Amino acid sequence: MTISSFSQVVESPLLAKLLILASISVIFFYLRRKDAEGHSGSFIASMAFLAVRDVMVALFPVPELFLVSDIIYFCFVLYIFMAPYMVVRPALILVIVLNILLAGLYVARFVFGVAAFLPSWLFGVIPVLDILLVGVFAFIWRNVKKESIARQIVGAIWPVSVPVLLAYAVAAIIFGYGNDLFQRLAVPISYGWFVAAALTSIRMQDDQMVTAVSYYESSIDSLYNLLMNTGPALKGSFTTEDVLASMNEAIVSETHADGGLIFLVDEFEDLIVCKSYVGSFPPPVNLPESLPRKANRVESFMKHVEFRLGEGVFGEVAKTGKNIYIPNVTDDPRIVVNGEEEFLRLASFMAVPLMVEDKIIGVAAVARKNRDNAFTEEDFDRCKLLANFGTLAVSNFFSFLAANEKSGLEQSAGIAAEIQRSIIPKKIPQFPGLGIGAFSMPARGVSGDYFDIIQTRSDRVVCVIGDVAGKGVSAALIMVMVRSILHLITNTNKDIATVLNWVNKGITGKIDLDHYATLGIVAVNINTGEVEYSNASHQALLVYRRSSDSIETLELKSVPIGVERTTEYARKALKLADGDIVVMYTDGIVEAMNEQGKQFGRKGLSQVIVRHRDLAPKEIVNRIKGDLSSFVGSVRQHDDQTVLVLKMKL
Amino acid sequence: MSENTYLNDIHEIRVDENNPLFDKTGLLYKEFPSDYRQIRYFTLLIVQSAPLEIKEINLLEQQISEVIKNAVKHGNHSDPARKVRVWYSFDSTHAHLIVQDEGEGFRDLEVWNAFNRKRLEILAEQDFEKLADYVSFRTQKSDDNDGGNALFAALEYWNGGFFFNNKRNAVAMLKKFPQKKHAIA
Repeated sequence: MTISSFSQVVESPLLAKLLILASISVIFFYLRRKDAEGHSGSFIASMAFLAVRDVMVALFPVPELFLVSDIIYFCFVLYIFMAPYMVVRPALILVIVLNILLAGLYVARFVFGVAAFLPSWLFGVIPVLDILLVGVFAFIWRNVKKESIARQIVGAIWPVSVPVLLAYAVAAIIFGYGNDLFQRLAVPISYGWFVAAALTSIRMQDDQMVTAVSYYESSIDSLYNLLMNTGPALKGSFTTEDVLASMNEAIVSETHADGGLIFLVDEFEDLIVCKSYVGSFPPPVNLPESLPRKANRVESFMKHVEFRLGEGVFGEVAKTGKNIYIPNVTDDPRIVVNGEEEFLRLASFMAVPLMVEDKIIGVAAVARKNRDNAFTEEDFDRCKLLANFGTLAVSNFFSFLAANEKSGLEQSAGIAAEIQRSIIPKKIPQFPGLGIGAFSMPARGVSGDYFDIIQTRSDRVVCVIGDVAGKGVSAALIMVMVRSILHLITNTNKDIATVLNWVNKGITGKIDLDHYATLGIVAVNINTGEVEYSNASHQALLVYRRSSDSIETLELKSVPIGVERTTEYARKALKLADGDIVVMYTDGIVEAMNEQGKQFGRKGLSQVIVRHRDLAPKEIVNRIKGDLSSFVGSVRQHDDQTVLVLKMKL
Repeated sequence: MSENTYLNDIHEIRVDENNPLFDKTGLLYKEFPSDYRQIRYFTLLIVQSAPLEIKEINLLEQQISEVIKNAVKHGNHSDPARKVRVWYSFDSTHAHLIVQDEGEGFRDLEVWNAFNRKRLEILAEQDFEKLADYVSFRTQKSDDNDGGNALFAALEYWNGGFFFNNKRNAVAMLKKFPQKKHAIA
């Protein structure tokens, strides 16, 4: 049948054959997108070969050409069915080579008349033998485990494909390739096995997807359980151990392990330390000689065991960051066998690093004791997944702890600052004979400075400045005590040194807390300008005298409040004239340091006062603040700074 | 542990005035009269500038107080007219102090080192009978209140160095606080 016109093409079986091949190829092309093993390619190649063959045969209708092409086609069939099994590949290659040699011989016999003595039916039998070989092979291997998709496909389709192809090959011998019925019916039907293969492949991919979905579903369940476990641990308490214990329990239960361990990297040393022990974990590492081989002793040893990086199987994971999966520990050099007792006999082991980004923060490990129930790849995957998510939870918890600690510090500093703010006068009182200016700038977390202005009689105003040693809430509490005592006793006819003596007696040795405070105190008669001054180790009093336009420094050596109950403080009397200025201040002012490491000093303070002697006290205080701030520049304020300026107006 | 670890690890008091720890740049400064009763107070004044983040602040306080005590008592002989000068700086990673007195300097420094070496040797030999004689360092000037142990502890505590100046009346010291980590560096 030579094709010489369009109508002949339409009437010939060629179009039907090509159409069938094309349709099935489309399915394989579709399957190929998700085909990791490449088996769809062999089907596509076979069909492409058949398409070319059919076109060639239509152009050159020589039965011999058809037989030669069939021999090669059956090589493809052999390849499809046998190549998935590596073991038989050498035999497969041999058979294919033999097929090709015979095909060559057949061509030579036809063209050059070589080996003419061989009957032609002998060559027709080759495809029959090929397909019989496939059938026998598939039958014998039918129960062998089919791990790959390709094996599953050929395992599923051989009962259909082998009879179809055998029937086809036999029909070719009986009817001959020139037979119209054979060409129009047998050939297209024989292509039907590709349909079976295509449908089976689709089913396999579907199955695979269903398995994957169920795997992910159960993974999500595991994660859900993990989060359900760690969540309440976070709610109930704030210890790392609790969070790790719930993570460990989740890993153990989801991997169906007998025991689980979680190690964390030590906070200061390069060690990993066991932080959680769940179930029973036969040690895979050397136990100390001295440790009695008793279940409870070994367990309590493991509960607190530590390893250097690289030491033992756990240290190895911490050092390399690589997973260790040993389904069967027998004869594995990484696992140390400590004895044959049940609590020492490990059967299956896996360990994974706990990593945040690329940093190792610990190691999780699980164990099984039953030799017949080893961890599977799936368990291993689950273990890695849970460890990854668990690590996230743990690392979030660490961040939370750090934030909590910080906020705790901030909070206690805040409380202290609040106490300080609430006991320092908000409004500075003014008197006809005495103007007062003041400012107090607390430094973060210190809260030790204190000042107060108490009018005890119509003509007597007492000004106090103090600095409690120490910091935070305890310092603020001492300040409250000092203030309470002062407000109770300042209204007295005794001299002002007596007030300090009483404060000191009230504070010293009363409570079990180290508490020292310097206190400077002046009592001013606002009608006469007479001043009494007493000092408990506070900074020297600065007095500006208008008459001499200079600063006097008044020092009264003494010890702070809180050193000895029997301390008797001294007093000094002075008289102020109109325009004279008294300045009280804390060490935070004179010890304020600039970028060159120089202190503002009493000198710096005196200079501001002299320069602004004519201003109102409130203004003088503002100038001190301004000068101090430009003096220190960007250097951090490390201590509270307080200034009290009194100016006589007689 | 090898037999000689104690000796290899030996800590000595060294005199090194050129040590960078004597650089006072950026350090805060306070001075006090040598009043033994107020040592605790002076210590508090200094430590109050330490950030809240420092853990074991009490240990730091105690160690600083020992050094000031030495300056007040052994350096200035508790003479209130003599001053103790302190330069200091703290952050969450370190504590750096220089404490200077107006005394004649730590003359027994070599004696102390020899004593310490002997003590560590005895410790290495585990000769506990002899060790009893080396529990505390005492000189003719020591009184009943001198434990004689403060310097041993100081050498351990000031892990960034503990050095005297040439006159041996000032000591510079550095404590490095271990930093918490959660992962292998």
